[in-house]
Amino acid sequence: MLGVAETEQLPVAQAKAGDATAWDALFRRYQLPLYVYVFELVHDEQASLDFVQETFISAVRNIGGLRDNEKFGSWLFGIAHQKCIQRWRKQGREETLRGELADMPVESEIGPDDLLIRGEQETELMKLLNQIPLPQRSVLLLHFIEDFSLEEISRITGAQVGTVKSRLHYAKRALRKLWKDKNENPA
Amino acid sequence: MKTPREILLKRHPAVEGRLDAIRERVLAHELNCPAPNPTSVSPGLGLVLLRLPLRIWQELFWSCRRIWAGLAGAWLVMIAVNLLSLDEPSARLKTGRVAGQDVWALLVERERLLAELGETAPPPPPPKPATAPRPRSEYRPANRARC
Repeated sequence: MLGVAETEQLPVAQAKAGDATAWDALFRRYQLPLYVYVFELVHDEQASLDFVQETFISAVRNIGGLRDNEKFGSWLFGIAHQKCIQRWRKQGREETLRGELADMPVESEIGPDDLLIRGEQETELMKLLNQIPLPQRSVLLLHFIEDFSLEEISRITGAQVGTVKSRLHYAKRALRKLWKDKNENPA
Repeated sequence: MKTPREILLKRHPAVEGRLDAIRERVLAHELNCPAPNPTSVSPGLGLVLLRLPLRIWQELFWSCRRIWAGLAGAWLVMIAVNLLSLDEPSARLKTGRVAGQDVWALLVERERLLAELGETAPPPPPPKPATAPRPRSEYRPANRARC
């Protein structure tokens, strides 16, 4: 299945050549998903905006290091992810983020669009999402927001593909369980 | 019914304006240079070379812009003071020029008076004739007495 970013033609080559219009198009495309991803991890609006700005600046300055133009999206998210790690490292939460989970058997693949939510359930989903531990939440957000492949999420988070796979599985299972509990025992 | 992606992206409508501002700021600061020619130099090197003046501007000047603004202000004050002090010698020159004209007029007047005096004054006395030497005979008795 093609990821969200892979279904469109992005002017990465032009951006590499220093074309400001191309950069504008790329930033327009990714500014909101990038912000949402960072915000859902740090829960700080100003810090998230700062991270987006720093990510854009790093992207412009280091675009020469991007080998595969089609991986621009995951490369950009990788920069933002590193900013989040630096913040957590400062806050002493690196252990939490890097906490490894035991590999779990993977169930049948469920796409990000397979989970459809009614309007009144949106707030509940966000609450449940925030109850999932950071490493799993990070993977789940990347899966939901941009439908990145396991390899791309692995590149973004710096974790092994197997670890990403098990985190995604754990996150989905945890979300499903929380969802089920919530519906069975509404407060 | 919505997908999680739709829910996540639509949760932050208020922030889109700020994201636009960030995008424009980054583009203005990082890409206000002409696009490099990818055939002449490699994109990485070309970008680095083209961004060098911008980096210098940002690192050396923009980062301490208040200090530079203060220095510029101090220089402007110094230039203004210097210009004001330059006005004084010119005034002095003006007065000096006036004084010179007066002196010149006085000199002309004095010369005119001297010329008038020269016309009415009596002719200068004739030069005194040089005293004639005494005759040798007047010295003789004395010379003789000594001998």
